[in-house]
Amino acid sequence: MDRSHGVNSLRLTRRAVLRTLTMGSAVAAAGSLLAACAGGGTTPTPASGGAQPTTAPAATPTTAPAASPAATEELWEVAAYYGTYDVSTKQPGRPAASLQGPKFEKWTRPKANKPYMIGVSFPHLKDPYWLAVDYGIVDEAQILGVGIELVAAQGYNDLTGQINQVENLANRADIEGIILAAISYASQDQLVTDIVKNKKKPVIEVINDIQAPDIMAKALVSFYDMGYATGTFVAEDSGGQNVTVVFLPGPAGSGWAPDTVDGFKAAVEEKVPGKVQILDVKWGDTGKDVQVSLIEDSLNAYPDVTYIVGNAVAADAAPDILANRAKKPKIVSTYIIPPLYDKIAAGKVAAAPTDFTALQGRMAVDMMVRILNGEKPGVDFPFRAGPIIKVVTPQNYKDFKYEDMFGPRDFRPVFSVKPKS
Amino acid sequence: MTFLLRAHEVTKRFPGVLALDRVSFELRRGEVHALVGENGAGKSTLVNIFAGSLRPDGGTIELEGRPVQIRSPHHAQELGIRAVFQQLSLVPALTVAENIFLGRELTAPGLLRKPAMRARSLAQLGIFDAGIAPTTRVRDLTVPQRYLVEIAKATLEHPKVLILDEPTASLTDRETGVLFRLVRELRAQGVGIIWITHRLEELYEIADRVTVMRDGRHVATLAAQETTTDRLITLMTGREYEQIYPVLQPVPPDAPTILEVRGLCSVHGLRHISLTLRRGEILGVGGLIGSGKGLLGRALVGLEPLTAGEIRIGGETVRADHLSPHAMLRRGVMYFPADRRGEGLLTNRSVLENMTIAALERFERLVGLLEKGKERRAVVEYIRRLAIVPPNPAARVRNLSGGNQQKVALARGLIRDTQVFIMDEPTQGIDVGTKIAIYELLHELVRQGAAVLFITSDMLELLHVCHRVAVMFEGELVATIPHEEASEERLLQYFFGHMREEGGQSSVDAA
Amino acid sequence: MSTPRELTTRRFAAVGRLPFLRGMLDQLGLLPVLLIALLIFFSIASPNFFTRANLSTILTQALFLIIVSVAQTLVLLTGGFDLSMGSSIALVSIVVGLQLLDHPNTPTTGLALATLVAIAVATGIGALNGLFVSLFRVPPFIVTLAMMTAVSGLALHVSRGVPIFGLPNYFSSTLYTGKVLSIPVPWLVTILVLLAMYVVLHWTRFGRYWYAIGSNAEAARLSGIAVRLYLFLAYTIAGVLVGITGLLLTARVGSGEPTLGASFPLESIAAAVLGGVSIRGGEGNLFGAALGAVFLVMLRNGMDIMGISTYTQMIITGGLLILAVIIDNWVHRER
Repeated sequence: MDRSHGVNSLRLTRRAVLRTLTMGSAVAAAGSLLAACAGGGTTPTPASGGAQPTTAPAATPTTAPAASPAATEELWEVAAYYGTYDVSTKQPGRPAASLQGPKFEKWTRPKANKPYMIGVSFPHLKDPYWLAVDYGIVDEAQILGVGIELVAAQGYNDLTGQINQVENLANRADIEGIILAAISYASQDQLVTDIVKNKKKPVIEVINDIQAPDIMAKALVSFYDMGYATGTFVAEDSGGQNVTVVFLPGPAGSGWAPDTVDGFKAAVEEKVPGKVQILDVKWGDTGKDVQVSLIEDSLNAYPDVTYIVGNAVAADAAPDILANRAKKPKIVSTYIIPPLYDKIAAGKVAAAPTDFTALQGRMAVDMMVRILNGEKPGVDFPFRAGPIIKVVTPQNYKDFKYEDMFGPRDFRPVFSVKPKS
Repeated sequence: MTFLLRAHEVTKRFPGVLALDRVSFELRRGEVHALVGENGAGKSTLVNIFAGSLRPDGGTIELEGRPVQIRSPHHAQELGIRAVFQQLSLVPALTVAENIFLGRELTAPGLLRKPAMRARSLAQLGIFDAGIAPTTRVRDLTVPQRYLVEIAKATLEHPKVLILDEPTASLTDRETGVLFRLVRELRAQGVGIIWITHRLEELYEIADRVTVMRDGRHVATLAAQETTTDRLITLMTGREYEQIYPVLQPVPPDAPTILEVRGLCSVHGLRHISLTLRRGEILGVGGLIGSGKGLLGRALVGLEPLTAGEIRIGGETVRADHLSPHAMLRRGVMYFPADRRGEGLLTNRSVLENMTIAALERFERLVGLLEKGKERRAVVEYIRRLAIVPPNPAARVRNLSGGNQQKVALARGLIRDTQVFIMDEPTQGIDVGTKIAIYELLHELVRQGAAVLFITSDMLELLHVCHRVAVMFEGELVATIPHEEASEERLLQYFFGHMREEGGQSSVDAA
Repeated sequence: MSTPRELTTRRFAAVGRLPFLRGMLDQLGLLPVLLIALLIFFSIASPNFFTRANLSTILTQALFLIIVSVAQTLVLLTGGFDLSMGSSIALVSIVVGLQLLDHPNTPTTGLALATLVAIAVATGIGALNGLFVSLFRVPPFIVTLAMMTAVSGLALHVSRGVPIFGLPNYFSSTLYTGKVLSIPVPWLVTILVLLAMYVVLHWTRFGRYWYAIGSNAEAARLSGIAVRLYLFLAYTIAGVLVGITGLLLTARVGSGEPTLGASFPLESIAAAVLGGVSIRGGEGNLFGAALGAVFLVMLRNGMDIMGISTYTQMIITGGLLILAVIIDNWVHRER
C-alpha cells in the first residue's frame, strides 16, 4: 500500500488489458473507435492514470491501521467448521458430516511470515459476482503483502481449460499455494490430489464447493444455504398464506443454481409446510435477454403468481417487465449483484440474501496464508468457513457495507499482485 | 461364344433425358474396342454403368457370360473392371506409391509395408519408362505423368476389363506411344479394353473394332480396319458436314480490327502470343489439351497473370493493372468459361438473374431501383430468340439441359452490348441441335459486327465454323490458317508441333 | 447430369394462377405451415397461449432475433456467415450504456448519441469482418470467430464484467415501451428494417450481386461484379443491423450488459436456415429468415407456457430443428 505498489498494480493492470486484447490488430481499429465513444464514460480506463482503487486503502474499510499488531484483529462474523474432512460423509452443497459446526465466531486476520506467492483460478471473470471475489482476494493480498497470480477460464463449460490453467500455475516454481474456485464439484479431485500430494503445494477452495478428499480448506457459503435463506424470507413474508412461486434458478446443470432450488424447497417445507406452491422452475443462462424472455413467458403462463424467485439477473430484469402489468408479484433473488442492490434500495425488489462475496475472497487468502505459515486447518483455524448469510431488504440495506458484498463501485479486474518484498 | 463383357438393351433415363436407349455392346477378351460418338451420345453413361457409377434402368449386363448387377465403383473393381476417366482419382498430397495402393495397401498385421509397395509401384511404372519415382508426390508430376500413374493404378491388379476415357487427350506423342505399347501388351494378356476417343485417326492404329453411338443409341459396330473417318463422322452425326455447319459469310474487307494482342506472355506458360481479331470475324483457337488455348482466353480478361504483352481493344491499350473481367466487360469484351457450371452460371438462380447479372445498370432507374418489368421483357425476348426451354424466366438454371444453360450464358453477353465474345469450348457437352443453334447465333453475331474468339477442341468446328484458325502448341501460337486453307491433316500437324509456320507470329499479324 | 426438372412448377400447379402466392410458397417452403401447426397446437395445449398479451410477447421477443437473422441472411447469401454478431451486440450495449450515463437529463442528445455509437460500433466491427473476408481472404468462420472472441473481451474489458446500470428512464421508455402512431417503437423499427432490406435485396443491384456471389463467386466475377467490394458491403450492412439490434435490446433489458446476445449468432443461423436460406449461399430470402426467427421464439414461448421442463425443451427444440429442415428439403427443395 505504498507508492511502489501503485506502480506495480498499474503496470499489471495494463498487462491485464493486453491480455484482454490478445486479438491484437483485429481489435485495434474497433478499440480506437471505442475509445472515442467511451471516452466520456464514467468508468475510468486503466490507462487514464486515475488512482487505482486497489491501492487506495481508504476505500477499504477492513484495512487494519498500520500500527496495530494485526495477528488477532477481529473482523466479521463467520460460520466455522472444525475437525477432519472425511469425504465419505460429504454430500454436495452441505458440509461433510465429519466436521464439527457450525460455530459462529469472529474471523481473524493472520500475518504473512513471508511474502508468499499464491495462485488463484476462477471459472471466469465476466460478471460482478466474480469481480467481487477478485476484489476480496486482491485487496486482502495487498493488506497481507502477499502476491497473487490469477487466471480465469472461459466459463462454467470450460472445465478442461481450468484444469490446464491450474496445472500450469502449480508448475510455476514461485507459486506456493493455490486458491481454487472449482468449475466442477466432482471432476477435479485428481487435480487437487496431484498438486497437494505430488507437488507438495496446498490447495484450498473458494466460493464453489468441491468434493476433493485432499482439499486443505474451504472458504465458502453454500448456495443451498442461500436458497434456504431465500425460502425463509418467502415463508416469513407470506405470513402463512397460500402463495405461488415461479422459480428461475439460472443455468441448468450448473454447480450452484440447482442448490438454490433445493435449499429454497427445504426452507419453505420446514417453515410453512404446504403453503408455498412452486408452479414452475425455468432454467436458463444468466444472460439478461434470456432471463427477460423467461420472465415474460412465465408471467403469461401464470398471470396470478405471487412470487418470482430467481437468480439475480432475473430479479434485476423483473421490475421493468412488471412496470406495465396490472398484477405485480413480489421479486426475490437467490443472491445479490450491484444492480440488484440499487433496485432493493428503491423498493422494487423485495429481498436478496448476500453471501458477502468479497469477504469470502478475503477469507480464502487468510486461510492460505495460515497454511503457508504452518498452521493446521481444522485445528488452528476452521477447515471450512464462510460469512453468515444476511437477507438484504429495502428496510435494512443500509446496514451492509457495499464493499463487503461487491467491492468498490469502480473496481477494475486485477489479475496480478506483486508480493511485498 | 461368350463375351467378356456384354450390355444387352441397357436403358438409362435422367430426368427429361433418355441417356441410353436399349443399347447393346459387346467386348471380347483381348480386344481393343473403341467407342465413339458426339458429346452426349451416351458413351460416358454406358461406361459409367460398367464402372458401377450409374445403375441402368433397364437391360442386363453380363460378365463372362454371367449376369451381374454392378452395384458400385468398388464392386466393379472387385469384378475386375477398372476405369480411368479424364477426371483423375489421384490424391495430390500423397506419393505415387501411396496413390497406386490407395484403398488396398499392403500390410503386415496392421502396419504398412511401405518398401514392398514402393518396389511394386516401381515395377508397375517401369513399363512406361517415364522416369516417375514412387516417392514423388503426385502434385509435383506433370499432367501426362499423372495420367500414367492413374493407368498404373488401374492395371496393378490385372483387371479383366479396362475402360480408358479419352486416354490420349492429355498425353503428348511420346506418352501416347508408351500407352499404345502398354495397351497392346494388356490385349495380348487377354484384357478387354474399351477405348473412348474423339481422335478418329488413332483408331486405325490401336482399335480392333469400333462402336458408334448417337443420341443414346447404338448406331453401328464395325471392324476398325474396314472403316473410314468420313463414314464414322456420318454415323456419329447422322448428317453430312454441310447440314451441320452454316455457310460461312466472308469478313467484310474493310472491317476494322477490334482486338489486338501483342507479345502476350503469362506466368503459366503463354509465350509471345500475338493475334488480331476483326469485327465480323470468328477466329478459332485450336490445340491439344495443355497447348495453352484455354489459358489464352483467360489471359485476355485478366484471369491469368501476365508477364508481358499488350492488349488493345478498338485501338485503345488496356493497362495491365486494369486487366480484369470487370474492366474488359466495360470495353465490350465478355469471356465465357469452359466450365459453365463451375465458373459461368449462377446455377441455383433463375434464368432471369443469370441473363441480366452483367447488365443490371441497363435496368436501373435514377435512385438505383431496378425496373423489373423492363428487365423481364428483355429476358422474355431473349428466351424466345434463343428458343430456351423451358421458356420461363424464373426457372432455375441448374434444372436446364447443358445446351439451354449455354444459351442462357450467351444471352448474358447479348443483353449487354458485347463486341467481343471470348468463348472457351462453348459446345462441349451439348447436343447437336443446340450446337447448330449456337453456330447460327455466332454467325448472326458476326454479321452484326461483333467478333468471336472461338476456343475449341473440336476439329470440325475449327474447320467449318471459323474464318481463321489459330493453332496453339506448348503455349505458343504456331500458326494461323485461313478457312480456305485449313484441312484436318494440316491442323493436326501444327497441333502436334510437327510443323510451325515460318515466322509464326508475323503471319498472324498479317492476317 | 441428374438434374430434376422444375418440380416446384408442377407441385404448385394448383396455385399456378396466383404467381405471388406460388412464389411465396416456392421461397418459404413449408415453414408457414409448420408455424400455423405449432400455433394451433399450443393454443389447444394451453389457455394462456393464444391471448393478446402472449402473442404480443412472442412478437416482441422475436423482433430482435428477426433483425439479427436478416443481418445473418445478408452474409449467408454471399456464402459466408457471421459468428461475431452476439459479442458485437454486447459491445454496443456497453457503449450505449456508457453514453447514456453521461446524458441522464438530455433525452434528445442521449438518444441521438446512443443511436450513433451503437450503429458506428457494430458497423465498424462488420466492416472489419468484411475487410478480412474480402481483402485478405480469410475464411468467414475464422474471421468472425476471432472477432467474436476479441470483441467479447473488449466488451468485458470496457465494462469490467459489470452491467452498466442505472440508465436514464427515457431510454427504455422511448426505444422499448415507446409508441409512434400507436405502434411500439421496436416493432416499427423492425418493419422499417424489413422493408428497407427487402428493397435492397430485391430491387437493387446490391441484392442481385449478393445472390450471385453466393451462388457462384467466379461466375459473378466473370460477369464484371466487384466481388470483394460487395462482400465487404454485405458484412458492413449486416453490422448496421446488428447495431440497431444492440440498441433496441439494451433498451429492452434496461442496462448495458457485457454478455448480451450471446445466443444470437447460432440462433440467427438456425432461423435463417429454417427459413430456407442456404448455408452454402445464393439462396433464400429475408422473410423466410424472419419467419424462422418467429418459429424459434414461438416454440420456446409455447413450451414455457405449457410448463415443459428446460431439459425436455432442449431435446424438443433440437429434434424439431432437424425435422423441420428434413421435411422442408424432402417436400420442397431439390438439392
